[in-house]
Amino acid sequence: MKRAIELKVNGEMYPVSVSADRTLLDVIREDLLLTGTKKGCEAGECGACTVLMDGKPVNSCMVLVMDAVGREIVTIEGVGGLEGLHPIQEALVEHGAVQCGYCTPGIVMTAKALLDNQPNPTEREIREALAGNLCRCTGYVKIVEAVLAVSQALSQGRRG
Amino acid sequence: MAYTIVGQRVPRVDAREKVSGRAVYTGDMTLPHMLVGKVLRSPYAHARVVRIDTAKARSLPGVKAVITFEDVPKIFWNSAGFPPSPGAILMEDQYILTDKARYVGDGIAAVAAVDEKTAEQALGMIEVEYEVLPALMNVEAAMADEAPLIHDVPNNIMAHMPIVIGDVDQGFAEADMVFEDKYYVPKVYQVSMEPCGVAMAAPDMDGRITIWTSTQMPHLVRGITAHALGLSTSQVRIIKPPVGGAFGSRLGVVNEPIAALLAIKSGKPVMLKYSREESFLATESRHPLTMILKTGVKKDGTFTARQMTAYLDGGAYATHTPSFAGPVAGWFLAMYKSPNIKIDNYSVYTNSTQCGAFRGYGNPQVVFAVESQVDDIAAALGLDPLTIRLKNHPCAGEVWMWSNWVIESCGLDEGIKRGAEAIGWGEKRKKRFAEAGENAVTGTGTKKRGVGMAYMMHVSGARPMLHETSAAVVKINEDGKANLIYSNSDCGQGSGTALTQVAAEELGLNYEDVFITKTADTDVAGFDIGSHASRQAYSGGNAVKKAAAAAKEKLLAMAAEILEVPASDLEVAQGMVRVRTAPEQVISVAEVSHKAHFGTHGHQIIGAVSEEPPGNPPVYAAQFAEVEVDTETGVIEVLKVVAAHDVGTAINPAVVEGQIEGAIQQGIGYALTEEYRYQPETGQPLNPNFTDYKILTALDMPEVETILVEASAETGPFGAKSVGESGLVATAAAIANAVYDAVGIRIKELPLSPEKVLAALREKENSGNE
Amino acid sequence: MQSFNYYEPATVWEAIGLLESLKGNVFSLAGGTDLMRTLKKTGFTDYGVLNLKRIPELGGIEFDGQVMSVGALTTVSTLAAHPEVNRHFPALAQAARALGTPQIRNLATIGGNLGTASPASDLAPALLVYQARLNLLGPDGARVMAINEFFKGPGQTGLAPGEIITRIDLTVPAAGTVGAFLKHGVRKSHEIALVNTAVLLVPLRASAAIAEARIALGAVGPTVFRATQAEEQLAGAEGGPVSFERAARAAQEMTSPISDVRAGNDYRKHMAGVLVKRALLQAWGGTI
Repeated sequence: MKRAIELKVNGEMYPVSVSADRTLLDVIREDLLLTGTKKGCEAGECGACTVLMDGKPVNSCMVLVMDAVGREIVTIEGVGGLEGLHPIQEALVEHGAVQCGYCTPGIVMTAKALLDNQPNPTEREIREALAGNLCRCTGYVKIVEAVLAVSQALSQGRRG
Repeated sequence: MAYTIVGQRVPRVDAREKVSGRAVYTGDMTLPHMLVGKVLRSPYAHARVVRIDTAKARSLPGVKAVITFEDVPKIFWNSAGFPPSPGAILMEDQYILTDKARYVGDGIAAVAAVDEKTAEQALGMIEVEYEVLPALMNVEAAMADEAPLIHDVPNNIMAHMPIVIGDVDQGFAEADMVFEDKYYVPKVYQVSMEPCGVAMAAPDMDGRITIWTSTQMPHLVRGITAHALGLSTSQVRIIKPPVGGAFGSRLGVVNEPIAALLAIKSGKPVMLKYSREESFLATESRHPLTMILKTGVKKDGTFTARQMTAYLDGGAYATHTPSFAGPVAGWFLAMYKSPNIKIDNYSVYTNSTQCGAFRGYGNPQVVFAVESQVDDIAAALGLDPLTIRLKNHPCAGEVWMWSNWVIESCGLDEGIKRGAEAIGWGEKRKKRFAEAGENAVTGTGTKKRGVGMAYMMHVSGARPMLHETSAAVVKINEDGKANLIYSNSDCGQGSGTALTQVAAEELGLNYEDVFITKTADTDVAGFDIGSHASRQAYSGGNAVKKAAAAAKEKLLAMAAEILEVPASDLEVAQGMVRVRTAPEQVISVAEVSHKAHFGTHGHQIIGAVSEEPPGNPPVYAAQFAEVEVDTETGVIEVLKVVAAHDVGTAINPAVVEGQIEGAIQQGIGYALTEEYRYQPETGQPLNPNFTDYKILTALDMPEVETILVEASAETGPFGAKSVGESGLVATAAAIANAVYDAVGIRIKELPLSPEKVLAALREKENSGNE
Repeated sequence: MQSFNYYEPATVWEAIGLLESLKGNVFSLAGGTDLMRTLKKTGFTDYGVLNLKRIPELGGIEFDGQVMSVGALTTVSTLAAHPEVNRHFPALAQAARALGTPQIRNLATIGGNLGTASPASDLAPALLVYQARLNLLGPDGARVMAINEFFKGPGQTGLAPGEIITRIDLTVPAAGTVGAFLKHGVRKSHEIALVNTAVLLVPLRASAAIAEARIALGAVGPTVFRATQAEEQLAGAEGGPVSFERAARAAQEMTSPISDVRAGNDYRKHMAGVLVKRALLQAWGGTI
């Protein structure tokens, strides 16, 4: 049985017809064709599918789509694009923190939630925030550098 | 020599599309009428299929194809991606689907259906009856005389590779001390974040089939897939979109033949994506190795004889294993000089998932054993571990036994010196076994610190073992910007960026004005053997540089005609052609190219090259680790890793550092936390998931300091050698040696788990009390 | 094949009614981080899901200065960040921060964690030492169950059919009480505990002696449990390395760990002792 629901994703309302056993991840990717959110394990263990739900990073593979109704969902497509990249994205590009790119959208979402809530994290806090986003390419070195750099730049901007 | 673009930390060509989520990977694609494929896998490690009934599955609405062993071409093939070469020993023992399961997860049947749910339901409706055979889960069990045969080879030994140089018996007789030790390294997985095994196959109306696939080697996968399907090579077209990490896991065919056969049988495009669990269950891993090392030394640290007997657990199918035995021998041979060397490598079938390539290709295994033992030898002789390595490693100008070619350049000595300084080797080694890291918890000083190091050398390509052709075409467009057409097998390492820098540097164009084909397409780009053997910078770079040089030559000839000066007087930089002696005489590349296109003899300036690289210069690294061992819990914490790498010219230092930093995460995992395990009697995998296959998180990674030593190679493009694989080769050995320095225990089996550390500490304590 | 049913009650009574009428053919969804994995394995076919997340009464943390009432649907990250939880129930806050990953903590709930009854639960040992009281509601009405009566075995709880946890009540311990939670895993995060422990020490007024000790252990038995023999040893004893070592050994004696892919039983047993000793020392005297 399919149910007609509306999802609010990246500020837009999407009417979709879904069966209740679908995950938010599958509907984002297959119905909304927002394929920037990646599928890495389907068990809430890798963080590649991280989206923001009411501002908080969650594994979208662990969320039933029905449970996402009425909530604000933000995916990587809602963070930056042709019109311009988010400072976190710019920093990842600049620091050479992107390799295969498969974990990157999830990293961006987690880092964005962190800096939205806590603009001046320590390196330790950045690492704690990223502990649910597995990366196999970078050793996290340049990712952490990039997030630190953008937080410093943002805080200087606020002071200046 | 100073370059304009080579050596710069330019942003990667694919960074912006990846940070924005706009990069379209294979698994993100859809085609009209696309079906979803699924594979039915054996629940048994070793079993014969005695009956299989697919009638119910076939009759389920929405199912468009069901295939079993009966439907696959009866052509044996080998999934390993090797070009036919002297060093490629390709035992063909695979079918697309099997009627005899040889590991848990072996493909028995496959379906294509309108959606995933229907496909999964259909799998559940296939009835299979098995005759279960004993599971042989390690080389000892497999080689036993009474063991059942996995394939039809005696004692399940697929190959024996003996190598003899000099006379080891005499060498051992001349030695002052002889060391003999047995080492074991486990099965570990590459674990790219994009699960391994994603392909979409679409048959066309002309008897050809197009396969989009996450692969490291489009051309070789084309050939193997065509062979497995009974097609000729050109009937298959491989397209490689962005790849979500590889590290060797996609070094050959993964699931392309199954996807293709389902597509052919259904007449529709089929997407076949392995889940994370399937990518553990059914794709190739690093080989577990048992290595028995025997080394004879003089008191001054000279090696009189070196011997290795290694058992390579190849798993259920031959794939890489008999060929892989060659590099395993090569790494051992080339590390240290000795007049007498003997190697016996046995490649053995077992009922674990087949093993293949993983970053380093045997080198991390061998280096763990060799460098652990050399550390013990240094301790026994009272030599500094740095000294014994400096004394015995082959240097530039000497013959490198991996290839039997002369070593072009070697930055190891500088790397050892700078790395030792960075880790604080001198002062920290003096404090051996001293209390360190006052333990605030217990006040009993349960945490001990130590430093250790290991060295490694690696390749910049696969010659002379393999023929390694690369091809590049550079075309200059009418606006003066250029396309680089290349079988770009970048899997995230940044080779596409580095090759773009090489092309721009050679052409004299700006980096932003050269566009590499981000997607590899075998219908477009020339033959290339792909991303492996750390070969993209050196071998790929050679072809790209020459293609760019060929285009530049034509460009300058055209400019010479326009400017009415000899071409030899011209130079090109930043998109402008100038007369060297009269810089005011200048014309833009755009103008020259425009004239070429639309002048009297209309033509586009194109440079094309296809060739093998001139050599294979070795690269070197010295890695240092500082660890803290908690003697009460057995937990090893790595505090810092210093990685001093001779990579030749670093075409893009940020890319090079990224390779080393990422590899070290894998190396620390190899040392401490990663091991893929099976239930020993049944062969059931115990940890095909990220909860129990433990790759390190951002919180677990220590400080990593990368030191680049640029001992450039004359034959390399702008002096480049390689970096891709070498970052993890020495890491586990350096950590093991640091643990020895900290608490005096020598563990000869990876990973160095807390349980093993505690057991070793107890054993040491007990033997000390005797 | 049954089709997958999904229910979204708006009130607790609606939930209880649905649970009763569906007679167990439904999973309660509280956070979903364990349930989703189960559903993916079973193929979503045989059962339905009752999503409790839309019921306002099951959320929120209320505190009157003495008793804290935590809604069962409170997420682990909310718990970890809550100032009053950190102030009055530090071992619980530490346990919440040690659970899973940040993304999982944003989904997982305290009620879900208890209902799953994993022997390796991170929250349960902390809730045991704070002597949490579970408010249950079912077809027969409301009742309160002490947490030490709740866990019956791996995945087994004292919940009657159709019953749910609505709120968890915690009373602020006596002044001067100290607590700690420690978890041992292979990695620093993203782990299921090999062993975990929560300890609580109530000092005897104006002395170095311990009036009362509470010690709970996880992942070393079929359920999380209180190491009562170790607690008895410490009651009236002077706090310090010697008494803590002795208590740790007593706690260790009460463990019955299994061997699995994560660790051998010997190692788990050994680590139970180490962890209890370290947690007691940390709570009593200093920091890790």
